[in-house]
Amino acid sequence: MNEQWMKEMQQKMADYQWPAPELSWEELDQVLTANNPPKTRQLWLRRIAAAAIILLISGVGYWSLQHHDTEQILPTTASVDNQPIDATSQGDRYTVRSGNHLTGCLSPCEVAEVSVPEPETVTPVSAEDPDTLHITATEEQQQPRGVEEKVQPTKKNSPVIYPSDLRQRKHLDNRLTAKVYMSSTMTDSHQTVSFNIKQSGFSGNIHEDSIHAHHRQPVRFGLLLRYRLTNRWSMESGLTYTRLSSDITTTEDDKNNVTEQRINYIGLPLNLSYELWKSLNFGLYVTGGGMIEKRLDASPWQFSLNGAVGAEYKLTNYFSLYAEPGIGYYFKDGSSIPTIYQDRPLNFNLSFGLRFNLK
Amino acid sequence: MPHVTFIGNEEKRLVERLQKGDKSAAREFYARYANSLAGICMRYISDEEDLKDVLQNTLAHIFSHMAEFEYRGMGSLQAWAKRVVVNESLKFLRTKAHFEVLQDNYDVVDESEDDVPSMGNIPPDALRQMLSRLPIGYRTVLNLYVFEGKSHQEIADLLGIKKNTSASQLYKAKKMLAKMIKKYNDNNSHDNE
Repeated sequence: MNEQWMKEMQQKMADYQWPAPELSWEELDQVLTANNPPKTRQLWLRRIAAAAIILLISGVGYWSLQHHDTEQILPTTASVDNQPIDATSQGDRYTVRSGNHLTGCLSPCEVAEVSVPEPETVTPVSAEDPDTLHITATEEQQQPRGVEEKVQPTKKNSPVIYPSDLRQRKHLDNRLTAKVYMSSTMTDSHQTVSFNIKQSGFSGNIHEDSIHAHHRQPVRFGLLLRYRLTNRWSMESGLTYTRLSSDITTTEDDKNNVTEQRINYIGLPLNLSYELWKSLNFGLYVTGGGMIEKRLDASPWQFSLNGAVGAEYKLTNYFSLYAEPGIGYYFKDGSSIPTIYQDRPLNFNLSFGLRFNLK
Repeated sequence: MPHVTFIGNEEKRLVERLQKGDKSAAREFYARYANSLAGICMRYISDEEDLKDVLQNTLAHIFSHMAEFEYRGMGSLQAWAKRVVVNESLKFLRTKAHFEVLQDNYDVVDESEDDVPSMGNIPPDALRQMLSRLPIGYRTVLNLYVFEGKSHQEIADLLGIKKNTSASQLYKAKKMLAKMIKKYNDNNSHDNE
């Protein structure tokens, strides 16, 4: 239908201009300022306010996670103080149960297990660790009698905890997921798992050995892209890298050995988000989805489900700042080596960062 | 006059400034776009007296909806402004006439020739003058069909007429225009002789 004459006309008139008359600017200026209030300052105020809200959410989330930790740790450490070591009376009691498991009695009612697959040498550090707490196992609280049989008394050295497995004992409620933000500025978490291994019954010597794990906040970096499906629904995927790192101090005959261990994961998340509320620059949404992660130094694949509530502030059309307090559930990865995720499959997390929006 | 072009992010920055209510940005916007918007408007309206009103409304609409405008790359502001000026022109014409009524007022289907002669020698301004001599209904349909790329159905919806009316008005507009072009070409060739 686009005939020759039409084409010709379109070309003729494509850049057609006409000297524009002067307009009544008074009226137009009013329209302009009424509908577009000068908001340079407001915009910055709003950005600062939004950043403050996000920080507040992050802070509250972080605090609650930390708080949660404290509740977990305190009873344990408190009970330690109440359980002075009665060295002599305990003679050659072992708290080691079975070949690969240590049992430390953390409190009269609490028994912690740490799996010890194989000894591994650790870097000796001569400095004494004043923070190391010791938890004593007393005979009265030691339920399993049979454990003694399985321990070789000749094993003078305390079993060395294999670092990558000790990690699994850590409480990881405060798993912090950061995508752009470095979480290293956050407070680290500590946990002490102490063992009192009393050996060499004849001499009556007591070797108090403890393992102090200083767990850094797990950090997750992500490069995620979000695609808007409809007005309210959007999908998000990308790549994440998660690093779990810890300093493990093993105290052995007043000598500290420190190792640092790191576990790395590469993950592929897939999330669906639903927008609850949105103003010009601010938005609230719920998001949920799954993630598959591969441990880089080992074979297991880790599946997880997660859900979160998110707040986001649009910086430009493409970038937004967001904070997402959420909850995650980690499935068993099927391997025999227990992991943090399996120890505590359900954990809270907080991620925040910068998001690039694709239209 | 030079075609309005932007280097780099100037257009985007202009949008941002307008969205902050920057009055100098409003003047800049007008300086950059007004002539080309006026050119579009003059295709629709026949009387230059009305140009100021239409442009005034056009800018008022643009400025009052600036907050909702989303910059989508170079040229998007200009494209939007062009759409607004077309709408405002139509709005203005609607106050002047009912497009439906006009369909049979003119009988131009008496010419035997089918094709529009070449307009190679016709300057744009003369062509614009021819358009302005078309009856309002013909002119509007032709503008929407030829320059805005609307279908007859879309034109029918826009103007509140029947689809067939749109088609027949375009046909008549074409006939009438062909006559004018032929006349123009004839006159000019006589001048050249």
